[in-house]
Amino acid sequence: MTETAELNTQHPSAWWSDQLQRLAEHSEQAVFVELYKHFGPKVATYLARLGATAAMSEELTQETMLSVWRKASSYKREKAAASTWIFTIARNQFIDAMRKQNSSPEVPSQDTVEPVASDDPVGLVDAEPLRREIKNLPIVQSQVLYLSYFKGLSHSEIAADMNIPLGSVKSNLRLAFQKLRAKLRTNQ
Amino acid sequence: MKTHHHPDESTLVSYAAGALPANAALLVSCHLQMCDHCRATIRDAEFIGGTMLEDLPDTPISTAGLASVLRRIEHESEPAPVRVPPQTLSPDELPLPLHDLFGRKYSDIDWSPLVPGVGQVKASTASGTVRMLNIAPGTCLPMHSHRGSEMTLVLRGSYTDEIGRFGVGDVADLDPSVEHQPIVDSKIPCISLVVSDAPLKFRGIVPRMLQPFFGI
Repeated sequence: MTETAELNTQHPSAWWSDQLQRLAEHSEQAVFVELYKHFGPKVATYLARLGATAAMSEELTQETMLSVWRKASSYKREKAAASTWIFTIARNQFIDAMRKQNSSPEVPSQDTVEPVASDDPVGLVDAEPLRREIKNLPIVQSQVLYLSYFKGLSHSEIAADMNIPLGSVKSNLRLAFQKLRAKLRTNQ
Repeated sequence: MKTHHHPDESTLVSYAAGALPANAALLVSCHLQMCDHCRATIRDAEFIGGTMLEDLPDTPISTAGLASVLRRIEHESEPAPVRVPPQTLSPDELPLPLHDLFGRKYSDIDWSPLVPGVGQVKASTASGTVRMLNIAPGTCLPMHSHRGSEMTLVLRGSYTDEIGRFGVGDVADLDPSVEHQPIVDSKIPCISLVVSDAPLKFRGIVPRMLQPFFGI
């Protein structure tokens, strides 16, 4: 793990967004390889936490990164950070894979809508204040956030898992989100 | 389009996290096509997801995987953009996310009568069913509450209840505790999309894959 980290050096989030923008404009394979090596291992961890087996996680990581290549030309630096953009692709890969296993009717993935029409440049936001706030969340808020993002549990599943009322799940998720969201706008 | 009633923030965060049941996610997708306000919320919740992703520890992945992806992209020409812009709907057209389940046009739907003045069609998703209700102008539904959480998205027409007036694009995201009595107050029938929390939920990924066999 440390070895990979050293190979990748410690670039800040913004640097990776710049790289993805370069890929968007020039389709350079060398840039893609860098992005693969940085984000691939994190996507693999994300998928494993969601419940993917090692084989499935490896396969979906490849599919996610392949999508990064294919969709790169639609990436806009000011609209989304690279991490946000890759997170949504990995999330949708997982949702689609689960639906295929269920052989349920084809419902379009969640990314069929342009993320936002406004001119608010969220892609340029500094993530550091958000990072600190995530670490400072009260334990229950932190747990509901974790179970939502990394276990993919619904509100009622979290209520059962944590043995708290459904209303508490919702209010804690709301509180956590409001605190974190406030940190995205502090520098603007 | 200006909508006035939105899904609860906790619902939107779960959507961005990929944690909403498929039926609820479908309804939220339809609302997002009509609501800039909630798209901005989703965007911020996805930013949080991305930041947490970036802070995850690394899982070693095989170099063979990278090699295989590189082989695949070599055979591809210029990557093509794939995002679909928000849709402009003609009055008879269903929102795009519903086309595969219910068809493209309201006028082609074969409604089953539920009670006088109310028609219904149902479809199932990976978790839970979605229903569309077609309620005649002036119809007043009996006072009721819900066994679980229930979300309603107005697609055509409008209704009024104790909470307020709900027009096209508005969402009522109701707790089980809420009692209400909707009245259709538009001149045209009110068509809405309704999803309910599945009455019985299993935890975890593998049990969730079994849900279709239990028909929930």
